[in-house]
Amino acid sequence: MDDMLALALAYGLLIALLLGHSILTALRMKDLDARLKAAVESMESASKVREGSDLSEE
Amino acid sequence: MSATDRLIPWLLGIGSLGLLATVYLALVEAPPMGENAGFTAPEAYRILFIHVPFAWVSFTGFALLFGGSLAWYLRRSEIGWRLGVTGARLGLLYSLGVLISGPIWGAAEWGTPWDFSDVRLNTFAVLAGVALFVALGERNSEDTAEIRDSLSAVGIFGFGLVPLTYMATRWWQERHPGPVIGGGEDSGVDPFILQIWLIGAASMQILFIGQTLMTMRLLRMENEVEEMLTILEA
Repeated sequence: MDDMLALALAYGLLIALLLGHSILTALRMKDLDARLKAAVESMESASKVREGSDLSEE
Repeated sequence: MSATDRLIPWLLGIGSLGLLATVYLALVEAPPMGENAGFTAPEAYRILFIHVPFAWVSFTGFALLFGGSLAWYLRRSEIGWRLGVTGARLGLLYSLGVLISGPIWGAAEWGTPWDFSDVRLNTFAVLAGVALFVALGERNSEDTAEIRDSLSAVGIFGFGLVPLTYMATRWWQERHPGPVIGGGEDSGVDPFILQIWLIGAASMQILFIGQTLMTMRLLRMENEVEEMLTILEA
Protein backbone atom coordinates (compact mmCIF):
# COMPACT_ATOMS: atom_id res chain seq x y z
CA MET A 1 0.00 0.00 0.00
CA ASP A 2 1.17 3.54 -0.72
CA ASP A 3 2.90 5.20 2.25
CA MET A 4 0.82 8.42 2.37
CA LEU A 5 -2.45 6.64 1.47
CA ALA A 6 -1.98 4.29 4.43
CA LEU A 7 -1.36 7.22 6.77
CA ALA A 8 -4.45 9.15 5.59
CA LEU A 9 -6.67 6.05 5.59
CA ALA A 10 -5.66 4.96 9.10
CA TYR A 11 -6.13 8.40 10.70
CA GLY A 12 -9.39 8.99 8.80
CA LEU A 13 -10.86 5.65 9.87
CA LEU A 14 -9.76 6.02 13.51
CA ILE A 15 -11.22 9.51 13.80
CA ALA A 16 -14.44 8.25 12.15
CA LEU A 17 -14.54 5.33 14.62
CA LEU A 18 -14.27 7.58 17.70
CA LEU A 19 -16.67 10.19 16.30
CA GLY A 20 -19.15 7.52 15.21
CA HIS A 21 -19.12 5.96 18.67
CA SER A 22 -19.69 9.37 20.32
CA ILE A 23 -22.60 10.21 17.97
CA LEU A 24 -24.26 6.80 18.45
CA THR A 25 -23.90 7.04 22.26
CA ALA A 26 -25.34 10.58 22.31
CA LEU A 27 -28.31 9.48 20.15
CA ARG A 28 -28.93 6.45 22.40
CA MET A 29 -28.81 8.70 25.47
CA LYS A 30 -31.31 11.13 23.90
CA ASP A 31 -33.64 8.25 22.99
CA LEU A 32 -33.46 6.79 26.52
CA ASP A 33 -34.07 10.21 28.04
CA ALA A 34 -37.25 10.59 25.94
CA ARG A 35 -38.42 7.07 26.86
CA LEU A 36 -37.76 7.74 30.56
CA LYS A 37 -39.80 10.98 30.42
CA ALA A 38 -42.65 9.22 28.58
CA ALA A 39 -42.65 6.37 31.14
CA VAL A 40 -42.74 8.85 34.05
CA GLU A 41 -45.68 10.72 32.42
CA SER A 42 -47.55 7.43 31.83
CA MET A 43 -47.02 6.44 35.46
CA GLU A 44 -48.28 9.84 36.66
CA SER A 45 -51.41 9.72 34.47
CA ALA A 46 -52.05 6.08 35.53
CA SER A 47 -51.88 7.06 39.21
CA LYS A 48 -54.24 10.03 38.58
CA VAL A 49 -56.78 7.70 36.88
CA ARG A 50 -56.47 5.29 39.84
CA GLU A 51 -57.01 8.14 42.34
CA GLY A 52 -60.07 9.33 40.36
CA SER A 53 -61.67 5.87 40.32
CA ASP A 54 -60.96 5.45 44.07
CA LEU A 55 -62.78 8.74 44.77
CA SER A 56 -65.80 7.83 42.61
CA GLU A 57 -66.08 4.46 44.42
CA GLU A 58 -66.22 6.31 47.78
CA MET B 1 -27.33 14.63 38.05
CA SER B 2 -24.66 13.02 40.27
CA ALA B 3 -21.11 14.37 40.77
CA THR B 4 -19.63 11.65 38.53
CA ASP B 5 -22.18 12.47 35.78
CA ARG B 6 -21.04 16.11 35.92
CA LEU B 7 -17.45 14.95 35.33
CA ILE B 8 -18.32 13.24 32.02
CA PRO B 9 -18.20 16.27 29.66
CA TRP B 10 -14.94 17.46 31.26
CA LEU B 11 -13.26 14.09 30.86
CA LEU B 12 -14.49 13.73 27.27
CA GLY B 13 -13.37 17.28 26.45
CA ILE B 14 -9.90 16.99 28.02
CA GLY B 15 -9.36 13.55 26.47
CA SER B 16 -10.41 14.76 23.00
CA LEU B 17 -8.16 17.83 23.21
CA GLY B 18 -5.21 15.65 24.27
CA LEU B 19 -5.94 13.34 21.39
CA LEU B 20 -5.99 16.25 18.93
CA ALA B 21 -2.60 17.35 20.34
CA THR B 22 -1.29 13.80 19.84
CA VAL B 23 -2.47 13.78 16.20
CA TYR B 24 -0.74 17.15 15.65
CA LEU B 25 2.52 15.93 17.24
CA ALA B 26 2.38 12.67 15.28
CA LEU B 27 1.64 14.20 11.89
CA VAL B 28 3.59 17.47 12.11
CA GLU B 29 6.28 17.42 14.78
CA ALA B 30 7.55 13.82 14.65
CA PRO B 31 10.38 13.37 12.12
CA PRO B 32 9.97 10.98 9.14
CA MET B 33 11.67 7.59 9.58
CA GLY B 34 13.67 6.39 6.62
CA GLU B 35 15.34 3.07 5.84
CA ASN B 36 18.24 3.97 8.14
CA ALA B 37 15.79 3.69 11.04
CA GLY B 38 14.59 0.30 9.82
CA PHE B 39 11.32 1.44 8.18
CA THR B 40 10.38 0.87 4.54
CA ALA B 41 7.32 3.20 4.80
CA PRO B 42 8.78 6.44 6.23
CA GLU B 43 5.43 8.27 6.68
CA ALA B 44 3.04 5.41 7.51
CA TYR B 45 5.04 4.76 10.71
CA ARG B 46 3.13 7.78 12.14
CA ILE B 47 0.12 5.44 12.40
CA LEU B 48 1.93 3.82 15.35
CA PHE B 49 1.56 7.03 17.40
CA ILE B 50 -2.14 6.31 17.67
CA HIS B 51 -2.12 2.51 17.17
CA VAL B 52 -0.06 1.92 20.32
CA PRO B 53 -2.21 4.09 22.68
CA PHE B 54 -5.34 2.41 21.24
CA ALA B 55 -3.79 -0.98 22.11
CA TRP B 56 -2.76 0.06 25.65
CA VAL B 57 -6.22 1.49 26.41
CA SER B 58 -8.00 -1.56 24.96
CA PHE B 59 -6.37 -3.59 27.75
CA THR B 60 -8.07 -1.32 30.31
CA GLY B 61 -11.36 -2.33 28.64
CA PHE B 62 -10.47 -6.04 28.92
CA ALA B 63 -9.49 -5.51 32.59
CA LEU B 64 -12.89 -3.87 33.27
CA LEU B 65 -14.62 -6.78 31.52
CA PHE B 66 -12.69 -9.24 33.70
CA GLY B 67 -13.19 -7.38 37.02
CA GLY B 68 -16.86 -6.67 36.34
CA SER B 69 -17.58 -10.26 35.25
CA LEU B 70 -15.84 -11.57 38.37
CA ALA B 71 -17.86 -9.19 40.60
CA TRP B 72 -21.10 -10.39 38.99
CA TYR B 73 -20.14 -14.08 39.14
CA LEU B 74 -18.94 -14.09 42.75
CA ARG B 75 -21.11 -11.41 44.41
CA ARG B 76 -24.05 -10.89 42.04
CA SER B 77 -23.01 -7.22 41.97
CA GLU B 78 -25.23 -5.09 39.68
CA ILE B 79 -22.49 -2.46 39.34
CA GLY B 80 -20.04 -5.27 38.57
CA TRP B 81 -22.29 -6.46 35.72
CA ARG B 82 -22.56 -2.94 34.31
CA LEU B 83 -18.76 -2.52 34.56
CA GLY B 84 -18.27 -5.80 32.71
CA VAL B 85 -20.64 -4.76 29.89
CA THR B 86 -18.94 -1.35 29.72
CA GLY B 87 -15.54 -3.06 29.53
CA ALA B 88 -16.78 -5.29 26.69
CA ARG B 89 -18.22 -2.37 24.70
CA LEU B 90 -15.19 -0.11 25.14
CA GLY B 91 -12.69 -2.98 24.84
CA LEU B 92 -14.34 -3.71 21.49
CA LEU B 93 -14.19 -0.05 20.41
CA TYR B 94 -10.47 0.33 21.20
CA SER B 95 -9.50 -3.10 19.87
CA LEU B 96 -11.31 -2.21 16.62
CA GLY B 97 -9.03 0.86 16.49
CA VAL B 98 -6.03 -1.47 16.81
CA LEU B 99 -7.37 -3.91 14.23
CA ILE B 100 -8.07 -1.11 11.73
CA SER B 101 -4.78 0.77 12.09
CA GLY B 102 -2.47 -2.27 12.46
CA PRO B 103 -3.25 -4.00 9.15
CA ILE B 104 -3.12 -0.65 7.27
CA TRP B 105 0.37 -0.02 8.66
CA GLY B 106 1.29 -3.67 7.95
CA ALA B 107 0.15 -3.31 4.34
CA ALA B 108 2.44 -0.27 3.88
CA GLU B 109 5.41 -1.52 5.93
CA TRP B 110 5.41 -5.33 5.46
CA GLY B 111 3.52 -5.53 2.16
CA THR B 112 0.81 -7.65 3.83
CA PRO B 113 -1.96 -6.60 6.24
CA TRP B 114 -1.97 -9.79 8.34
CA ASP B 115 0.28 -12.71 9.26
CA PHE B 116 -1.53 -15.80 10.52
CA SER B 117 1.72 -17.23 11.89
CA ASP B 118 2.21 -14.26 14.27
CA VAL B 119 0.87 -15.13 17.73
CA ARG B 120 0.51 -11.50 18.92
CA LEU B 121 -1.74 -10.54 15.99
CA ASN B 122 -3.93 -13.62 16.35
CA THR B 123 -4.37 -13.63 20.16
CA PHE B 124 -5.29 -9.93 20.04
CA ALA B 125 -7.88 -10.60 17.32
CA VAL B 126 -9.40 -13.38 19.48
CA LEU B 127 -9.47 -10.97 22.46
CA ALA B 128 -11.43 -8.51 20.33
CA GLY B 129 -13.71 -11.43 19.43
CA VAL B 130 -14.33 -12.10 23.14
CA ALA B 131 -15.32 -8.44 23.67
CA LEU B 132 -17.54 -8.59 20.55
CA PHE B 133 -19.25 -11.77 21.81
CA VAL B 134 -20.01 -10.31 25.26
CA ALA B 135 -21.13 -6.92 23.88
CA LEU B 136 -23.45 -8.46 21.26
CA GLY B 137 -24.64 -11.21 23.63
CA GLU B 138 -25.66 -8.64 26.23
CA ARG B 139 -27.46 -6.46 23.70
CA ASN B 140 -29.35 -9.25 21.89
CA SER B 141 -30.28 -11.60 24.74
CA GLU B 142 -32.90 -11.48 27.43
CA ASP B 143 -31.51 -10.06 30.67
CA THR B 144 -31.55 -13.12 32.94
CA ALA B 145 -29.13 -14.34 35.62
CA GLU B 146 -28.27 -17.39 33.47
CA ILE B 147 -27.33 -15.24 30.45
CA ARG B 148 -25.29 -12.95 32.69
CA ASP B 149 -23.49 -16.00 34.14
CA SER B 150 -22.63 -17.33 30.67
CA LEU B 151 -21.38 -13.98 29.35
CA SER B 152 -19.41 -13.34 32.57
CA ALA B 153 -17.75 -16.74 32.22
CA VAL B 154 -16.63 -15.79 28.70
CA GLY B 155 -15.32 -12.47 30.07
CA ILE B 156 -13.41 -14.18 32.89
CA PHE B 157 -11.81 -16.97 30.82
CA GLY B 158 -11.24 -14.68 27.84
CA PHE B 159 -9.01 -12.52 30.02
CA GLY B 160 -6.48 -15.40 30.00
CA LEU B 161 -5.53 -14.16 26.51
CA VAL B 162 -4.28 -10.83 27.93
CA PRO B 163 -1.01 -12.12 29.50
CA LEU B 164 -0.53 -14.39 26.46
CA THR B 165 -0.93 -11.40 24.10
CA TYR B 166 1.45 -9.31 26.24
CA MET B 167 4.14 -12.00 26.31
CA ALA B 168 3.67 -13.15 22.69
CA THR B 169 6.27 -10.77 21.21
CA ARG B 170 8.75 -11.83 23.91
CA TRP B 171 8.27 -15.59 23.43
CA TRP B 172 7.53 -15.93 19.72
CA GLN B 173 8.44 -12.70 17.94
CA GLU B 174 7.58 -13.19 14.26
CA ARG B 175 6.33 -10.13 12.38
CA HIS B 176 4.83 -7.78 14.99
CA PRO B 177 7.62 -5.51 16.38
CA GLY B 178 9.13 -6.63 19.68
CA PRO B 179 8.56 -4.81 22.99
CA VAL B 180 9.99 -1.29 23.16
CA ILE B 181 9.38 -0.74 26.89
CA GLY B 182 10.68 -3.26 29.42
CA GLY B 183 11.81 -5.61 26.69
CA GLY B 184 15.44 -6.06 27.78
CA GLU B 185 18.73 -4.60 26.47
CA ASP B 186 17.70 -4.61 22.79
CA SER B 187 14.49 -2.67 23.42
CA GLY B 188 14.03 1.09 23.70
CA VAL B 189 12.62 3.98 21.76
CA ASP B 190 13.54 7.57 20.91
CA PRO B 191 12.55 9.83 23.89
CA PHE B 192 10.47 12.15 21.63
CA ILE B 193 8.51 9.22 20.20
CA LEU B 194 7.96 7.85 23.71
CA GLN B 195 6.76 11.30 24.81
CA ILE B 196 4.11 11.39 22.03
CA TRP B 197 3.02 7.84 22.90
CA LEU B 198 2.64 8.77 26.57
CA ILE B 199 0.65 11.95 25.76
CA GLY B 200 -1.56 9.88 23.43
CA ALA B 201 -2.04 7.12 26.00
CA ALA B 202 -2.82 9.56 28.85
CA SER B 203 -5.33 11.47 26.67
CA MET B 204 -6.99 8.30 25.48
CA GLN B 205 -7.15 6.98 29.04
CA ILE B 206 -8.93 10.17 30.17
CA LEU B 207 -11.32 9.82 27.21
CA PHE B 208 -11.84 6.16 28.16
CA ILE B 209 -12.76 7.09 31.77
CA GLY B 210 -15.30 9.62 30.44
CA GLN B 211 -16.72 7.01 28.06
CA THR B 212 -16.86 4.46 30.91
CA LEU B 213 -18.90 6.83 33.11
CA MET B 214 -21.15 7.69 30.15
CA THR B 215 -21.75 4.01 29.29
CA MET B 216 -22.46 3.19 32.95
CA ARG B 217 -25.02 6.02 32.99
CA LEU B 218 -26.56 4.70 29.77
CA LEU B 219 -26.89 1.20 31.24
CA ARG B 220 -28.43 2.66 34.42
CA MET B 221 -30.98 4.56 32.31
CA GLU B 222 -31.77 1.41 30.27
CA ASN B 223 -32.42 -0.40 33.56
CA GLU B 224 -34.69 2.39 34.85
CA VAL B 225 -36.73 2.37 31.62
CA GLU B 226 -37.10 -1.43 31.82
CA GLU B 227 -38.23 -1.25 35.47
CA MET B 228 -40.80 1.46 34.73
CA LEU B 229 -42.20 -0.44 31.73
CA THR B 230 -42.54 -3.57 33.92
CA ILE B 231 -44.46 -1.56 36.55
CA LEU B 232 -46.71 -0.01 33.88
CA GLU B 233 -47.46 -3.39 32.31
CA ALA B 234 -48.35 -4.92 35.72
